[in-house]
Amino acid sequence: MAGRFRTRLGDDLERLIRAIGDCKSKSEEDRIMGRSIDQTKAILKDGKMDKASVKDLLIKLIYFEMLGHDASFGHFLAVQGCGSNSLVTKMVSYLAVTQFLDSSNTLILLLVNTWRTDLQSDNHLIVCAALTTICKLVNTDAIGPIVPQVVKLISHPKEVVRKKAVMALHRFFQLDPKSEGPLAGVDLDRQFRQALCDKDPSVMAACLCALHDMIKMNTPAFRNLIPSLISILKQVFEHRLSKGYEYHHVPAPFIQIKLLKILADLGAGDRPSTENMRSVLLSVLKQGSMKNTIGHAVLYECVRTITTISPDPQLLEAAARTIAGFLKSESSHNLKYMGMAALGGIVRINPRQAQEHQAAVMECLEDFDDTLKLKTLELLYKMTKPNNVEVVVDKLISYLETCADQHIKQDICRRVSELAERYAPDNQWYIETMTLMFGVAGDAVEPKLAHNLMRLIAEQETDVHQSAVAICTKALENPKAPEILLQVVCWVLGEYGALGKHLPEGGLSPDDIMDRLASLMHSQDCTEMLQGYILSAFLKLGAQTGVALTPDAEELVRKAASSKSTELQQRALELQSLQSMPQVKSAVLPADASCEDFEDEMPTLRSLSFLNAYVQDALQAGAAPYISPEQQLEMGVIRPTSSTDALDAVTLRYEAYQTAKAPTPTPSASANTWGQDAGADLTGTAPTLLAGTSAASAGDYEPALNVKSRGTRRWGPAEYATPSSTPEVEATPPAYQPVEVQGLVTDIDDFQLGEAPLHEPDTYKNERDKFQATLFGDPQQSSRPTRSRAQAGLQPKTTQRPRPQAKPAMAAPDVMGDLLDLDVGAPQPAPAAAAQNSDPFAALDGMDLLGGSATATPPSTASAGTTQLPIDLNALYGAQPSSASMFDSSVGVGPQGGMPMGMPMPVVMPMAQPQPAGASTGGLQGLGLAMPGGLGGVPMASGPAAGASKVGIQKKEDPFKDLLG
Amino acid sequence: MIRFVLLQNRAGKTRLAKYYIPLEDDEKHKLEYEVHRLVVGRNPTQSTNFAEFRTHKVIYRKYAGLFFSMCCDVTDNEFALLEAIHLFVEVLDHYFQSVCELDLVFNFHKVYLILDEFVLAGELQETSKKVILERLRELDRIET
Repeated sequence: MAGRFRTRLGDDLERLIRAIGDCKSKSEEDRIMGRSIDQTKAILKDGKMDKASVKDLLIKLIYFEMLGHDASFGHFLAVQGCGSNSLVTKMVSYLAVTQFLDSSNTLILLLVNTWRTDLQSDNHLIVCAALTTICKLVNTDAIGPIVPQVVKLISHPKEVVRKKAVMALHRFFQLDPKSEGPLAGVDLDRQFRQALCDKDPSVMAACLCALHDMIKMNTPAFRNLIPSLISILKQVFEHRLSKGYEYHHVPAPFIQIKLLKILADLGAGDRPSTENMRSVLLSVLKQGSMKNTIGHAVLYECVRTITTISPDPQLLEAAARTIAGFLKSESSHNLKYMGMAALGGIVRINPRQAQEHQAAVMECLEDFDDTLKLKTLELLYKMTKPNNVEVVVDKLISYLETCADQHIKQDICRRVSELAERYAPDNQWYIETMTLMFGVAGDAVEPKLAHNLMRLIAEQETDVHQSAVAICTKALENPKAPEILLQVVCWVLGEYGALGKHLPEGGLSPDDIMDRLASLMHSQDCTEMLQGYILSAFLKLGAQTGVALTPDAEELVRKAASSKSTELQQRALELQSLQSMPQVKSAVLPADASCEDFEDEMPTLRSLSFLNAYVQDALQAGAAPYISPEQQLEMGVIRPTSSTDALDAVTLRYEAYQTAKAPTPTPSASANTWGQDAGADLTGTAPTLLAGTSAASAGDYEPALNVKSRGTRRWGPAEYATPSSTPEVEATPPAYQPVEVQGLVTDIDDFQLGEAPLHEPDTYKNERDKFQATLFGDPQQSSRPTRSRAQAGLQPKTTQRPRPQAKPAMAAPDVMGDLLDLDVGAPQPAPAAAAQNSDPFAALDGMDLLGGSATATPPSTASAGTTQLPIDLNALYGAQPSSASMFDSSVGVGPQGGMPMGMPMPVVMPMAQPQPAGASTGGLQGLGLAMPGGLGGVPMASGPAAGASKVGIQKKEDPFKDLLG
Repeated sequence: MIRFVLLQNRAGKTRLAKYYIPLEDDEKHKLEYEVHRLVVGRNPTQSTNFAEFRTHKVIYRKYAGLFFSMCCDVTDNEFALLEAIHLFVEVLDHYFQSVCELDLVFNFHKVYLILDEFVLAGELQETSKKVILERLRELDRIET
């Protein structure tokens, strides 16, 4: 059967493929390939190839690469072949380059000229081949020279060329989405709108992809397209497109899906648009077929659209019916998956939906298939409420135990910590859950989460500290505890180890703790980072309880003092020097001071006035005074850096250089000399030469000129092959009059104001925000005042950092039952909840009100976000020095203690310079952390292991950047 | 957006690999290996045709001994891509007149051409079987 086509390949290659197919082992295959590659290299080197052999050779090279061998020696041949006169060679070469190269390859530059020629070819096959390659390989440098020609091709008579030109423009847009680079001045919007009205459906379909991307960038500007899109969608499902677009009896399903996606984006958060779409969406649902996969795909997309746009009761009800249809399917896992995904969309708006399908949800949760399980967990995550958080988190963590994929683990960890932080019934549970999660998936947890946990612990009262110590001591018993968990444990034990002796289940003396930490440090896989944490813990324990180091710990410190890591060395040496000064030690590291507020001292500290004396000394010693960058700029020592200048200089020019002006025989000095050199007869020919070249150069620029002069574009009527559709569509083009767009935009904005928090555009990025909005719009929630941690009796000691408020769990005697009641005998699942939910849309209406009082919403809302940021900065600075008096003492200590690794003070630095600030505060920050890396150079130093516990690493870098300007 | 399209047999031999995002060669080989392991390891009767893959999704479908896999964004419609794979197979079937693995092995360059007519720059560019086949016939005429 396959024999029919084998003649198309060269004999040589056919033999090779057969030989590879017969190979019994990988090594045998490699041997054959190696031989063949060597032969090919030899042929290439020889250089004697005819047309047919070039083609065979290129195909062979593609084969090499496909099997994972390097054929880069042949890449240039492919690039060369693209410029060939032979059509066959050209096509194969273009195919080969798309396989061999990608957009970052330098060889692309060599292709640009070929593209420019080929785009102007009369043969549409060549133009298509060039456009296909462009779509794959173009990069920002190459757009400029070819964009005028591609734009011109949008009105090419062949539809396949138009389609590919639209795709190419789409690619350009992806590379330069803001039209700031090479696309500046190209009205893509107009091009795409024109293509949308193309009479050929494939061009229109191609254009939808491009429009979708543009709409994502700037939704309001495209809302005026909605009527056109709706009318296209109507025509599609009314079978007005040619039969060729039908797929399994569904009319152009892929186009339908794309249109629905676009409508979802356009209708998100915009009630008038939703109103317009209602009837068409209902018809799509009604017409949709449940018989085959493609029918499901369209229905699923439609449900997604309905759940993304502004909620509409009628549509949601229809969507819910469709979802029920998916979930009833007994046989197909795919359908269940789709049901879960769709349910995940709809519970955001109407939580009751999940309760109706609880049996299905629980079944999917236990399913064999991982993907399905994961999707269901995502659904659970979306429906988490204070009353079911424990069950959901439990499920998530038990999935973590079985999961091997790093990315999925990370994702789940993020979710667990988010849920735990938001809904934790009490802090004990929060700490336990987080430690459990660190224990199960330590390798996948981001350090940020650990720092969050430490910060949270630091903000609490003694009883929480005590239970944290208990939990941590228990965690220490696990021999395989991951690094990140151990870091938290070390920090907690260092900071609050003193409370260990009051533990209800058997006290722990500081000595005990030190010994346990020491044995941890003895273990083989104790990283440098962890060792640093342990050393800090020793220091803090000693300072707070007044006990001396245990012999074991003493020994470890001594070892660390001569460690090859400077960081450890410094920690150890500081510890040793502080050990000799008990008073200083307890002043520097007071008990439970990781959360102190330094607001008052900030102004003095920030001015760095304490360095005045130092600077004076240096100046007197003859150091040059400091000149700030601004002053340097004024004095002309440095030049203003402008990145754009540099870029301009580097980019390549593709236009031909201007033809050198032949000197005209005018009475100028140069003309005279030329005349003298070349003789009189040459001067006579000069004018004609000149005329020729100027004509040629005009030809070069022709495309650009053409583009400009093509103002009178013919806006093709948006009609399809079927004439009956004409009247409807013809009404569409005028929809995009610029004036109308303006008016529409403002209207839309008005509408958005009230509803914005509810319906964000459906991207995964703000999935959580949407979840929050739904959560707060839930009738249960809105009727219940949000209790902050303070109200729950767990007041943070500082008010610096408004954290996501942990809400206490509602009294839920049967939490599982509340989530999903599986018990068949049980009368009705959570009747109370159902009653409260009886009118979900009334609740939705109430949401606007709630959104207005943003204080109760989690920090993702604008107001909370803005208040939080400045405070964070302050907190950072506040956290560094313990107090002014402490600062004095530590400055005293530094030199006295004879620390070999004193602060690297720049010799002359005025007060405004941040480095000394960081270094010195780092030093006084309790000498627990006085590292040269204190500025974030060495990650360890910035960890919360030392005194400044409430500063997370991620917060730490920004403020300095800010200060450095 | 479709990130890549892979065609592999049960043993993990790549029959076609098309990437729509720039990747290093090593990375490509690793991907091919991982995707193969992922799709082969799934239970055909008790699994969905979708799998989480790194930060994306792989949609796959098995035809005889061949796995067709597409990697796409998490927001893409899984079912549409599942059917896109099938449409691609239908086109192949039509073009090669009842396709078998050997057709693809010996005409891999044709398969690339067909794919180029179907997916371009990571988007479905043409969803009409008729249009694709006409276009392929046109391309074939060059060679004769």
